[in-house]
Amino acid sequence: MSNEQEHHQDPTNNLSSTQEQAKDASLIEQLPDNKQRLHPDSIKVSRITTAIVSLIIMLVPSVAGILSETYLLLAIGAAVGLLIFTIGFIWARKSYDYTWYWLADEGLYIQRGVWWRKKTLVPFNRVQHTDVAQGPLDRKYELGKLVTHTAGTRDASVSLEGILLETAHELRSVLQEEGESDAV
Amino acid sequence: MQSDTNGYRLHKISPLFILFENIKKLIFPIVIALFSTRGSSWELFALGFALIISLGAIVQYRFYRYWLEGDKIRVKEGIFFRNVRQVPYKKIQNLNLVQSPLHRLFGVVKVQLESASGGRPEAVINVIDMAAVKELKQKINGEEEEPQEEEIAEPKDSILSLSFGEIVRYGIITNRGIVAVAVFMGFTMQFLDDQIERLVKNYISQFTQWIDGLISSVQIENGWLYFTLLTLIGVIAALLALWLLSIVMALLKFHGFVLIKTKEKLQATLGLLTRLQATIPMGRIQSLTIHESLLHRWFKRIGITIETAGGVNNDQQGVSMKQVAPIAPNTMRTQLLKEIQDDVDWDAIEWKGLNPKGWRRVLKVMLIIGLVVGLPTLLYSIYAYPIWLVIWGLYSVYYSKAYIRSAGYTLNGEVIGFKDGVIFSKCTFVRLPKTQTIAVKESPFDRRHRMASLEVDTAGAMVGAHHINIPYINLDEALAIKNSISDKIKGTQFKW
Repeated sequence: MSNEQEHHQDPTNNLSSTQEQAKDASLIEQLPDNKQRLHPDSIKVSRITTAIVSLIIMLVPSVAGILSETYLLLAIGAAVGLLIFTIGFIWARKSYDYTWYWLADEGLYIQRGVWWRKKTLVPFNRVQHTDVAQGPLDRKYELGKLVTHTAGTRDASVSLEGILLETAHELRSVLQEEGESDAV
Repeated sequence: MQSDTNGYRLHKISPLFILFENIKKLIFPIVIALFSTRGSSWELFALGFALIISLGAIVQYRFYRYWLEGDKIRVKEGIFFRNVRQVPYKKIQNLNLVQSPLHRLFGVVKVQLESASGGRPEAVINVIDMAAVKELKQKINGEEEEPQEEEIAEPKDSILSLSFGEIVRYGIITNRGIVAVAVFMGFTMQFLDDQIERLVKNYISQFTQWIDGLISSVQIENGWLYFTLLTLIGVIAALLALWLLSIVMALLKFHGFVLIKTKEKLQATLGLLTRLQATIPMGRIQSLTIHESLLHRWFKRIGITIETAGGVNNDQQGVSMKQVAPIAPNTMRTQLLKEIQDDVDWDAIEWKGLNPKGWRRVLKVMLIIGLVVGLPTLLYSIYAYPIWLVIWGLYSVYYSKAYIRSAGYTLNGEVIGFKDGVIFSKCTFVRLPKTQTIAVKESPFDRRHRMASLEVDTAGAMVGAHHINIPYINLDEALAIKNSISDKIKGTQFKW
């Protein structure tokens, strides 16, 4: 395991200093103690996805540039692709840093968003059904996605991506049990 | 016609109505096919089409059957692809009856059953006679049903009945004619662009010439005054025509509107040509919105709409019954609310304002919008842009102050409400057990002022419709609201 990996797994190290935390005094300063982060491998998955996307974006102008021998087009395509990749690379880490989830008496909380932050509560007894899904990249890192469906409309499905498949299954069974025990 | 083992059949006349429905569905393919084969033997094609769909209708009718069982209705339909559907009576949200003049002629009615699944109606029974409807209703509403005249609801014991004048006011206030005209224009532009364009241009020039004649008879010389007068008259004429169209549309839809309350249900009867009867179980109302636009206020009126879970979201998919009180005097507000939602203490509603500092943030947004929107005026004149900015700035100051002043929320043990809007004021109430997810949102701008917004999601809400989304409140306040809602719903199962 590389150094970086260890760095990722240390949850206290993410908002690097207490100063930064004070500056960001907001929704996320009020998180409970049992808050959980996503799995660190989710950063890798998201970076690989960005890499694939930016490669595809680069591909079209590159091929066109080579064929027509206009190297400016090639350069622009490469620059745009690189830019997208860089932003995606940084953003993967950022959004990981600002995403938490936790279970409380009333339901599942999900806190996310770097700039526009949102704390969503899915009450246990409002969960209609849950999905656990896994993409090909997720499979490599044993990650999974938990989708909780409610009867609502705008937030009809709340998904939590980038947790271990195992964790997703555990969360799902908790949601199911709590939802049933709540039935009056 | 009916027995317990063989189930219920549709009325004998129903192939005719199925045929009409099929024609309605197929009208575009048929028209296109006719146009594309024009010149050859298109009559034959038309005949073939007619034959096939009429035969289809008869076969469809023969294969449709439904059973009223102990606790559910079972519907079987389909020729090649058989479809059996079972809907428990308890799950039926709305029961709607549609009766066009043709239906009335044969004394039959089309029934539409809605459950919470959303989108399309769960079952459509096209068509049965009134006796069968009565039986169906008795099953769905539980066995006991006091014998009452179904078709004519007595206006005297109604919650709300609309007179002719009220419906005219509704037409003027909502001005739905604009939508109709827009749709019509879009449609005609797509198809017969050249001819229509020439026609419209012709009409417009004729109209201007006519007004021209009128004005020059009063002897006003050509000039900008003349042009403004011309435009003014044109605008007024267009407005009047639109209002007239809106009033006609309102009359067609809401003529004889009567809302009555039977036990746990609301029942609305409305329509001029096509009569519609819709029932809504009151417990199933997910949210309730009071509309109070500028025109509403001038006429001292309000409108009330509701959202039910799932259901049918737009008119194309079937009958939607959202307008529980299309228009009512403002003085009836509390009385109506008490009737529609009697489990909420409407006298105990206390409004809390948003953060008073919020108006500066609204102003900033307005000014940025103004800066961008005004840019095209630069093309006209370099002076137009500053003038625009000054006017827009003044309006923005007024608007943002008025917005923050008029917006607010209310929260007690039973209900959460949110009102906002300057010109089109709206006010939405959600009973707490109907809450789905709760979200506290914080934008970077919110963060600077330690503010946040709170959004509550409910079932059956229309996308883009007014809902509980309280902006510009203090973060602590938002979290407190979230906590008190989640405390309230912690131990309660969601009942549609």
